[in-house]
Amino acid sequence: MDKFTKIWIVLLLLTLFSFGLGWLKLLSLGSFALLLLTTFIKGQLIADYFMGLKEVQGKYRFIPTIWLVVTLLLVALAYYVPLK
Amino acid sequence: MKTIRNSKTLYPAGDFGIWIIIYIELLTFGLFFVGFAYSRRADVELFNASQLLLDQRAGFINTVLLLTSSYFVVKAIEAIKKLEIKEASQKAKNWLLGAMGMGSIFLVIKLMEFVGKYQEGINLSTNKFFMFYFLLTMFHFLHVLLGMIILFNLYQKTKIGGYTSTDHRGLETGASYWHMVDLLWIVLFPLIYIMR
Repeated sequence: MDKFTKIWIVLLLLTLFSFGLGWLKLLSLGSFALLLLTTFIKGQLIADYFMGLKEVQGKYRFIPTIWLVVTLLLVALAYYVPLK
Repeated sequence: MKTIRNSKTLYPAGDFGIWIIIYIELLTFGLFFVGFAYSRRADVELFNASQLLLDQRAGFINTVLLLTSSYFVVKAIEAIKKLEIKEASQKAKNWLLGAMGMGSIFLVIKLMEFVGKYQEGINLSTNKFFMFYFLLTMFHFLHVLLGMIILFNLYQKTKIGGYTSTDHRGLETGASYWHMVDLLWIVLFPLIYIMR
């Protein structure tokens, strides 16, 4: 099995996991963190392998990574830091 | 002591212009995602209740379709890079056709979702959750539509042997756009359909 097929299968499994959390309504703080983590991993796999950014030096590779981290962190803060 | 040369390239695959567009799109959608999350804080119950009206299965199937479509595009590029032109074009053409098929089913499912919601009397002005839902998913829908047009053009050129192992920049440019559409959905799906 080639590298891209393995990545695709991992992406599908992570998607199934995310869907399962939502479908079974298993959304505690811990599973919310897991959901964010799987989203990050999926995004990073797409950027690195499908977009081919793993083979690129420096800043162009890290822009999607920074985008994913900042977006998901801000979403996490919005969901779990209470309003004053 | 010998220095090992870094084999990594300076720039991403495809035309550099597409990467400027990709980064701008990521920023734009990122602001929408964060806007959605912070708007939810003002009325968590409303957002959670409205989210229950969405079909998570449709969102899940659409995620699988986009991921598979992206994978098919990767396989098309791999074929062009590794095989002789005649065989490469034939295989890449088929992969691209598969990718377009997946994209088409995505669009049909999304359209059915939109129509279903309108038939239930739910639209942009129903509440803040659905305003974000329609804005985000319709904006993304338009990106998929544009991606499909791009894929069709790539398919047409591949069919006539327009890409070779040494000249496939156009294919990589279009593919990068398609992967971006996938990347955006990867965040959009859990945010809109699952997180609560």
